[in-house]
Amino acid sequence: MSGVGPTVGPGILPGAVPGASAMPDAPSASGAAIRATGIVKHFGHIQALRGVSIAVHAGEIVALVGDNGAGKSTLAKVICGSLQADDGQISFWDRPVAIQSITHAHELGLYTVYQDLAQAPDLTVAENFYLGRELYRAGALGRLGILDRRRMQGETRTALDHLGIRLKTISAPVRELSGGQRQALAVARATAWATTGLILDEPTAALGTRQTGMVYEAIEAAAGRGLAVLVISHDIPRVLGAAHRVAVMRHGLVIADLAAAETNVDEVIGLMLGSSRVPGA
Amino acid sequence: MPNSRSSVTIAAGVALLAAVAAAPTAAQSEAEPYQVAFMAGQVGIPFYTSMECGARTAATESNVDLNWQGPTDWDMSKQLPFIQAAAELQPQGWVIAPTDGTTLIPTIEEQMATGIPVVTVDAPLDEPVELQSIQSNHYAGGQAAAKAMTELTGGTGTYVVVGMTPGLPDIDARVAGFVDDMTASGATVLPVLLPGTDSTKAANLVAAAIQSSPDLTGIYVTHAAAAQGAAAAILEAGKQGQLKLVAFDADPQQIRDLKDGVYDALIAQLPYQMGYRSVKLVADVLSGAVDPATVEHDNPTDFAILNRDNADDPAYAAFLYIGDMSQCEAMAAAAGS
Amino acid sequence: MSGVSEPVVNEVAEAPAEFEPEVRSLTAFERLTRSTAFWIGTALLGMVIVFGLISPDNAFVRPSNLLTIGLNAAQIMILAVGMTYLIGAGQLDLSVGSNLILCSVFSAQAVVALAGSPEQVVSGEYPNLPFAVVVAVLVALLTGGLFGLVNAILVTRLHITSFIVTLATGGIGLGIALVRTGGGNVSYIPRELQLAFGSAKLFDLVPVPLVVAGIIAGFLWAVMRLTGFGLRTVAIGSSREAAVRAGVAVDRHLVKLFVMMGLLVGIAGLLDVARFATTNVAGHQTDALAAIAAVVIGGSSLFGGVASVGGTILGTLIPVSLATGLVIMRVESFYQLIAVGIILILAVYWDQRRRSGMS
Repeated sequence: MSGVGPTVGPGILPGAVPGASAMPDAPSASGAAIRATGIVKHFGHIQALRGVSIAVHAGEIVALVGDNGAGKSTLAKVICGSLQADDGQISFWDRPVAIQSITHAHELGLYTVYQDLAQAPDLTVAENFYLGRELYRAGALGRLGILDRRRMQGETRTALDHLGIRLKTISAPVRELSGGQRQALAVARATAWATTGLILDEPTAALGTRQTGMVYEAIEAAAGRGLAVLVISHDIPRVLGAAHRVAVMRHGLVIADLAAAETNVDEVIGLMLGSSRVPGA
Repeated sequence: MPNSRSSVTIAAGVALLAAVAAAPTAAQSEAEPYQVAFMAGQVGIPFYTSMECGARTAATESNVDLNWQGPTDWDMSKQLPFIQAAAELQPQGWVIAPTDGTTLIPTIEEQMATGIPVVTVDAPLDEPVELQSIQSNHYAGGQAAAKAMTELTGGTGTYVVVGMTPGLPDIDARVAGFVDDMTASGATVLPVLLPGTDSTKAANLVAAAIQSSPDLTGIYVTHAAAAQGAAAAILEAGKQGQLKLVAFDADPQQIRDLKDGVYDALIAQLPYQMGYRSVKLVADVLSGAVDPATVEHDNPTDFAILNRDNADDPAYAAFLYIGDMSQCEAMAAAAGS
Repeated sequence: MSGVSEPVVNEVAEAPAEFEPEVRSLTAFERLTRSTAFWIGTALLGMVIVFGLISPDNAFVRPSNLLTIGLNAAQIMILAVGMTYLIGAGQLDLSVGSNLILCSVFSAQAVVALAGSPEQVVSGEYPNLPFAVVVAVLVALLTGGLFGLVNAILVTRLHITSFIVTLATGGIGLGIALVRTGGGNVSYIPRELQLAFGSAKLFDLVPVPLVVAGIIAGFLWAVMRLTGFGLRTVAIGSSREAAVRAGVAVDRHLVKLFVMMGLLVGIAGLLDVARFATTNVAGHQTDALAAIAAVVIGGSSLFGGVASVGGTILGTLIPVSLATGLVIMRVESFYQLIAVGIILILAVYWDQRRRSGMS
């Protein structure tokens, strides 16, 4: 999506061109924004995913937990377009999709926040926010490729404010932000451009308490905007506190899919390690 | 001219040449031509094209089969592979333009010890181990330049000299000859400029010299790349005609520029003679016409001062370098041999 | 809040010990003094003033001298500005010297071949000169651009680092040029080129090659600062991964940068021929290094992500000013090489210290 000319993201960014959203007209009540059914993936002899099924609805935060090697990251990579499944079906808004690549996933409205953030440390907050879909000046200047930095900075600030992220300046290079600020920025950027959902893989792994709080505020704001959010995390207490549902994975399968309100940390950990029984039938 | 290189390469070259030197020279039958290897210092420049003309002319006259080889840069690390390859063919005599003063001394000594004649041209060895050295006396060349400059300017005023890089004995000698004579007659000579082979750098330094000395009278350049830079700098400063420019060598381009007024005098060497005399001497030694013991070591060639008056004079035609071998016949005729 | 003496349990507490760095807006002055270009400019100004004071008759600061310095910096400036983009994107081009020779050889041969019949040319007549010059310009640009394209393809398709690729293509390019000329230079290039262009002056004052270099440098400065093209260039250098994930067509962008560098080399080659009315196949050995040094002195990061065209422009002027100043001062020109090397180290060292002090 490079090229000269006015380009505005199709996402939920305030001030975005109305009607450019990729959201369908009326998602059915039972329809999930993201649904994966029977996903299978091998790596040579290793069966990473053995028929995983999971659904995330619009405005919902689903926590994906499991011990190391359970297959959480692999599932995330399959849904986000980084890997191709060997078998199974993925659908967005009840429409089956075959996700070819990360860029394709972006086009379908699904964005991922990576552990390594994928930010350019020397670029400013606004520049990172708009990288790949920069705003150009109106008219002839825009056709020459001249950026509208003022608008990019303004819109970035607005987007961050809406998600509750407080940065005193957006014209400093991203390398000068704290880890939590950078993570929150990554979430904000993905939120701004996504129309279907967000996947976050260990977003607060290296952060302190206050910074973790900042990131979860952004995640909740994203869900509040109607995105389907899937969060992979090892911080069971924290993610359980934020999520609506929790899906537990073990040995390449989702063995339990519970409402967060109806379970607790001990039970979840027990399920992860195989020492508890799955509640219900 | 530039410096020597890795001792590993040199050691290998030395070993190879030493092995070849052990092979005895064959008795020569009347009809068979003598195999002579001519190792040029740098090919593709008019100076050496003229030398090749002289060498081949002598080769034809003296029944010599000439193996002419050389690198495109004056650089021992590039010349050595050519010498090694030529040694494989076991020549009966050598003419070498040594791109470094010390590297080839051991091998030339070995060759001479087994009776294979080696003559050097154009540049000196640090020790006189070869049969004969045929080169311009570069110091005398510098003096000739001083003479030319004095004729143009009267010998007073301030002058600047453009060398190449530090440590090249023939260029340094060209500089020294000029500086010594000019200072002796009372002129001021600024510190030597050293732009290497970079024309832009030469232009830069000469322009600065022009800026710094309002009484600058003349500029003397000791090699071609610097000459172009200096000429450009003079032109750009708007001082063409006011500042006298004397340069070494008489390439066809420089001759034309001399006639156009860019240069005021050129110091022309005799590369043709270097090529001719060296090959002739080797052939004469091989045929027995000349006894090596009677050969004098130093055989310097002359200079000519070319200016706009005599550039077209047939008497000076032998001093004009040729650009390619198609002009060799004319040059040989002009050289009168 | 409960009393200070009571322990606070099971509350999501603010962690006062945790430090949230203050990130605030920079004032204009701060932005200025943070830029390396500013400091290089200051250093250059200082050098000019010092040389101006101690040179006889203040010769150094005469307009003609300053403009001549610019003229002699023009070629490297054109190369260095293009190199700024490449280095900004995390690439290097070591082949620019050889490319320049190749462009100057081909374009010079074109002029000599087309400006008249061989007899006319040898005797100094050039009846078709304007046409020949136009063709020569196209030849130079084409040669340079193609050379850059070859570099780009080898780097992006074969995934070999640009350092190695351009080292190799530099050797190949020089070899081709030497084969074409038989090792010597192209002869009979019309002096008219020198008079009409190489040594010509605009308004009788400003050398034309400097004007050309200035226009190119100014344009590329604007592109880097103002356009998406410039932003993406440094984004790729800052984090290639981030650029890829953001949807930037990285390989295609790199191709553009290498081709642009090649075109700039073509222009520099034309300047070379026009100034000296000859090619210089034995020279240009250190052009790539001089260009890279200018970029680094000017404050761009060798690792990519930070690029300053303004800094580069100033960076090219420093070695030339130094050389000129030393000559004017009657100092042996050996020292100039030493001085430039020392300045390079000092500039990079000081810049690094400044940067680590900032964040």
